[in-house]
Amino acid sequence: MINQLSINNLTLFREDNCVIDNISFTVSSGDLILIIGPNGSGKTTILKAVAGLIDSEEGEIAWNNELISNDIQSYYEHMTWISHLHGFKSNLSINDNLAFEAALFGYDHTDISSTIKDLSLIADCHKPFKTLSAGQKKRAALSRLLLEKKPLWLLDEPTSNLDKSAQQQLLDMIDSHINNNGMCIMATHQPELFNDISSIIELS
Amino acid sequence: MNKTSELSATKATFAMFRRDCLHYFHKPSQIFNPLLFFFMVTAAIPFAIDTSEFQLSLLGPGLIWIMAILSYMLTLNQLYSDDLMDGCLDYIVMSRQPLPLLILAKICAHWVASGIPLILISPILGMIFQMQVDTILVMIVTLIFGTFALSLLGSIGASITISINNSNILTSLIILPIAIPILIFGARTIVLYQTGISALSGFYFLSAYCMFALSFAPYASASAIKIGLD
Repeated sequence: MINQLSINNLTLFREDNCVIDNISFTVSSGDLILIIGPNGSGKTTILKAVAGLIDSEEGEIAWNNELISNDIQSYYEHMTWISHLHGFKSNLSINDNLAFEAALFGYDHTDISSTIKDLSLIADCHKPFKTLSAGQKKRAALSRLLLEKKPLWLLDEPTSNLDKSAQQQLLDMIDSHINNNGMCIMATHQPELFNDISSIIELS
Repeated sequence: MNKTSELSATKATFAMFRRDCLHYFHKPSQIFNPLLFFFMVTAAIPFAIDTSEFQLSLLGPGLIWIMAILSYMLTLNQLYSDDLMDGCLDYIVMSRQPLPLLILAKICAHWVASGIPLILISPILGMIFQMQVDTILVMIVTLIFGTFALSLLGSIGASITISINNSNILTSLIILPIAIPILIFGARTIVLYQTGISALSGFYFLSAYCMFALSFAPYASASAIKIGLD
């Protein structure tokens, strides 16, 4: 199925400052969009708006020509959000955290085991999340991409803290997703890592 | 809602409750600091004021209830601030499960972690205030209803102030006026029982207030969280 996400004349404020002024772009199945720009330029803000977590002051975000604000729960069925915060409880293990998310999002428990194995986290999956390294935490957060199997990926600095092999694994995951008619919007400081970029949005 | 989605909503609610209980269990300072405050300050009062045994048992219910409410206020911000800071709240809001049910599970876990320890420690304070065993039992029943109602009402305050840093005082200011009926009926039910009047009417009021809060607090909190994340 071909999906389309349209962002039209989006304007966003942080506190009282306008960080995104009248931006428009369209993402279709098979597209990889990078958002680049210095710290504070509004990369995370725009991703949060596209994730439906913040309302825009002006403009529209539509998924398959339907405004996401009309039925946000239905939109969430098609989107995976990976923020720079990991979204895991620091004093619980990866297993405990993913078991909780399994109940929330309906992950298959066998998928959890295989994903943990694929991401080389098997030795650390029972340790408290706070005891893991920054790279391991990032890999654990990225496990949602494999578990949720949704067409739209919104990634906020996914390559930060990852070593070379983990970065390559992520690039392979993104390539495979794009080749399978998925779509990905990503905020990054390392655009040179990615191939087959459909479009780059540069924020100042 | 079909049977499968009802089952998964129930499963998600229990998963939320379990996760929050585990979280509180692994972070005992969040439970013990307010509890220690409640116990130490309340237990110190009889040493500071010169009263007879009779006066002490009459003052006890009011003082225990005031300190219970104040120490409980210290725990309310934990309801959502941790989930906001570590990014978990985004995923809770984005889940396919009904948010008010997940909120209710969080409130129940908060009550288990903060309310039950407070209730368990209260008989010792009752004894310090020279209260009779049957009066202590009445106090425990009022605290069961009262603390659960406070968790429910506190959830509204904590969700309204979710986007404000260090909002403990603001949350308390929002909650205190609607917590006053709990204080009045909680403390007065015990005092009236001590003077020979049935405690049933107090229990009825507190349980009704609890049910009233239960009927709207999860929905109000869910709406406030969605606005607060914005």
